[in-house]
Amino acid sequence: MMALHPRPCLLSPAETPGELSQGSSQTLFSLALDVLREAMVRLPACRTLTELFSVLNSCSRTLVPTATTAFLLRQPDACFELVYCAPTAVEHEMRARTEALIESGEFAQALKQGLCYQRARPDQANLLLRIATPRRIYGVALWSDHRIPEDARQALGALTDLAAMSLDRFQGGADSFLVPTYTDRPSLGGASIADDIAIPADQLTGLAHRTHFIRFLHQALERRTPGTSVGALLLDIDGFHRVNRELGCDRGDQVLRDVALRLDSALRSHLIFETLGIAECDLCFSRAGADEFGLAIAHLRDPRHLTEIATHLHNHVAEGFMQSGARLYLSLSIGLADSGRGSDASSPQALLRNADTALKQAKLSGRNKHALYTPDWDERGSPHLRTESLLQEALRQDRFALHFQPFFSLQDMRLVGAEVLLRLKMLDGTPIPPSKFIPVAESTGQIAEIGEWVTRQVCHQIKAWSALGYASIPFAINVSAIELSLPDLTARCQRILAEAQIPHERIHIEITETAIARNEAQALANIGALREAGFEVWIDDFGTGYSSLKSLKNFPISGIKLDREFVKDLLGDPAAEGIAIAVLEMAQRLRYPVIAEGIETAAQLAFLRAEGCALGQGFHLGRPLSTDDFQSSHFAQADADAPQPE
Amino acid sequence: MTQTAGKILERLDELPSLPAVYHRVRETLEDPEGSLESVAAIIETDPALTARLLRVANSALYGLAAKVDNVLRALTIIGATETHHLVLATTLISVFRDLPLGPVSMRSFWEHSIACGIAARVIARVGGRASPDHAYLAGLLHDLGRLPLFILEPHLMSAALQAHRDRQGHLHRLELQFFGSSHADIGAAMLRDWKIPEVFCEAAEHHHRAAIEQSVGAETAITHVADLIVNSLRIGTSGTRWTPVLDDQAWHAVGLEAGQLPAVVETTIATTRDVTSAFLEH
Repeated sequence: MMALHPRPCLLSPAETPGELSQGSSQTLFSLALDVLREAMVRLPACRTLTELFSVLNSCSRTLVPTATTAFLLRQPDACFELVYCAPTAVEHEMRARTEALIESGEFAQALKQGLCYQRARPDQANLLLRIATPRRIYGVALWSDHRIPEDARQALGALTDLAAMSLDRFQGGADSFLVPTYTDRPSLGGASIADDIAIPADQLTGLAHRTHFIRFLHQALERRTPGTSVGALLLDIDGFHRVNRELGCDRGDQVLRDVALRLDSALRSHLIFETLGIAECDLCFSRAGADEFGLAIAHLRDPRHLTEIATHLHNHVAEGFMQSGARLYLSLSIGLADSGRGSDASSPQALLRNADTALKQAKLSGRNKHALYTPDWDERGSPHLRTESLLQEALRQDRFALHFQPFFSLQDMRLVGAEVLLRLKMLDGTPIPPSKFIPVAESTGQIAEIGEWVTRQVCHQIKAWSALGYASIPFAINVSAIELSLPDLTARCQRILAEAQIPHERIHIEITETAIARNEAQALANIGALREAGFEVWIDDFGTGYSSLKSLKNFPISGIKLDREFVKDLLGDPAAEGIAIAVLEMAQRLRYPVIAEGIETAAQLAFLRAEGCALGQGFHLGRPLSTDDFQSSHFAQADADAPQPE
Repeated sequence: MTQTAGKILERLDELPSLPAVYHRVRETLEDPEGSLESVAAIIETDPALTARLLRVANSALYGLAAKVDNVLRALTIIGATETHHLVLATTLISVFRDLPLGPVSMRSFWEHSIACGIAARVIARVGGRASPDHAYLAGLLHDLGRLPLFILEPHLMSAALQAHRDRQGHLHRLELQFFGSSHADIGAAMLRDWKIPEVFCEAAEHHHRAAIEQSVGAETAITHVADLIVNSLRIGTSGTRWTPVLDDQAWHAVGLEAGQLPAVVETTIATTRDVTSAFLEH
């Protein structure tokens, strides 16, 4: 169209009320640029056709505020289907109008030439624009108004092209969109297209799927510029299995949905965009696992921003959730990684592996923490960090083993029992000390499962040895702080023993004072219940850790085990001697039997025996042995050396 | 109004109520014998409120020339009307700040409300159709009705949000379907219950349907536009993910020109972070 008139003529006040009436084409021009800029940011973030058309419509409304809009997409049968109409009320009118435009050939002209502007009546203009990229034609957009100024038409054309490029991204090879017919669906009060999810979304949370997340990371990594990197965050809800267990799976799902929505809205915030200097389309938030979320950030300028985001998300979750009228407090562990700084994470998988390592590191340092991956972890940290999955594997494949360390009556050196110790080897045979894997198992909650396995295994062994006619000595099992604060500890032990038909006095439970302190009320209840059920309960490592004499005074325990710390320096160190003597005296007065741990020399043994210590264990008396070795050293030998008189 | 909505209105007393100190301040302000000196004295009986109020007074919200560390000085500078609004906003946010919500955090909710108040204030100042003080409070209170929905009917509200997330419609329309009433009506009822001046109740009630109400006040129209701006900027959220559709009538009523929008947006963004942290940080 030739500009025969000076430009302002295109914008007479009568046809463009509102904000444009005072404007000149200069304002419209800068406005159009703003609109396009906004569209460029918002369109790539759209996940569905409805979102895309909503953005297209809302952007166009700034240019042509009073226009009615309709978008039609090509169907597999080559027909065009009206898929979006704004305002919704004029749907019938717009439908009729497109029919007429198809009849009169304007539609075909738009498809052929890309654009068709028609003034049907003095008070009605129709602008038809082809929604297409050089590769394919998707559909047609229609704007109707009193008049549509030339500048606005050009801007709308650019806007439509942008939308078409976004459709290319949705498309992934298919030639047309299969869109449910507009009239099939009950209208829910908005211009809505039901079931139009173009990017796979998770049914429960509405977030993108892991597959899309990985695709997003892939693209982001490909497009990174020298000054920027790609960030990945993995977020895990601490102890979520407990929510499911205690509230049930339905409530658990509800909580998960709330967490997802809350995090999503906390992320799509101006504050975040401004802090990072990115646009909404640079973020992809997805459900990465059962109770795990993933966040990918493109064009990350400074990896330090990752920790700011993590703090922001911690804050939004910290205030808790309302569930069934009760407050529920959850925390997140967050692992952060970025593709820069020599971490050489150029594939989504490598980046996610780093984020996962960081997540485990965060978990190890307790709840509600985040950690940023650093490459030097790989050398020193890995075996430890992989422990969690190793434990899961070990449980599944029965790779744990029990060892037994005997304890004796010091007066006559008679075998009176054995402590059960847990051993774990890596696949290559390298042993992992309990001091490495027990803390991990405690932090992940796997300890309860492991404890149950140990109890079963011990019962199994007791049965086997009983069948061989060996002495009915008790076996002492260590119970962790986590298990001691579980309300069903006694019931669990009883159930396992009942199944194996093992009398309760065959099992001793060893607990530490530190474990009691973790949840004193529950520990007290558990100890009482265990004792009532006929289990002996011993205080392990007495004198170290979170020590107080309260446990001796208030808890219905069976006896104490004097920590090796006070045994190892016996003879020579007056302080060690003094403490050992005092503990033994006190225990005698309270009528608690004492097992001295860590007896390594004959001198220590003689000292303890002289001070009236009844029981003892240690390398000098007997090392921890595997099942077979224990049997041959302590049972079979007892049979051979001193056959029972009966 | 359906049963659900009626029940929510009946259960409003389960929510925290405005503290006694607010009512005493208000009575004193309404009392012809009352003075800002006595208001300041009442406020100073509550050290937490005093500290919070001074932080807000010194925030970018009022743009005071110098830092004020004395309640009476602050009140004298901002005036009696603003004193009422300031005490209302401060006490209201304080009582609701630490309550857990569901799919939206209380923090996001207040971020949205505060930003909307600030946008409304700027629009009023630029457009000249309403007092900036009034516009600010109207904006701040406009979505208050969402709180009882979140707190009293968490499951239903989560379902509504889920439907919204699945793009079944604007959240306030979905509320009508799920509750038979929307946050706009419930918010207005709450504010009337608290005897907040009618102009703010109306703004809360009609901020989503400025067109239908012929006699809409400038505050309502401003709140409508401010809500739209803040939602499209995504500063906080009260649950909705869609930007409401601009109502032409409301747009005309606020007296803005399109060219003035960038400045409004810029001021809103620049001010909100500071004011939000004054209200929300511990």
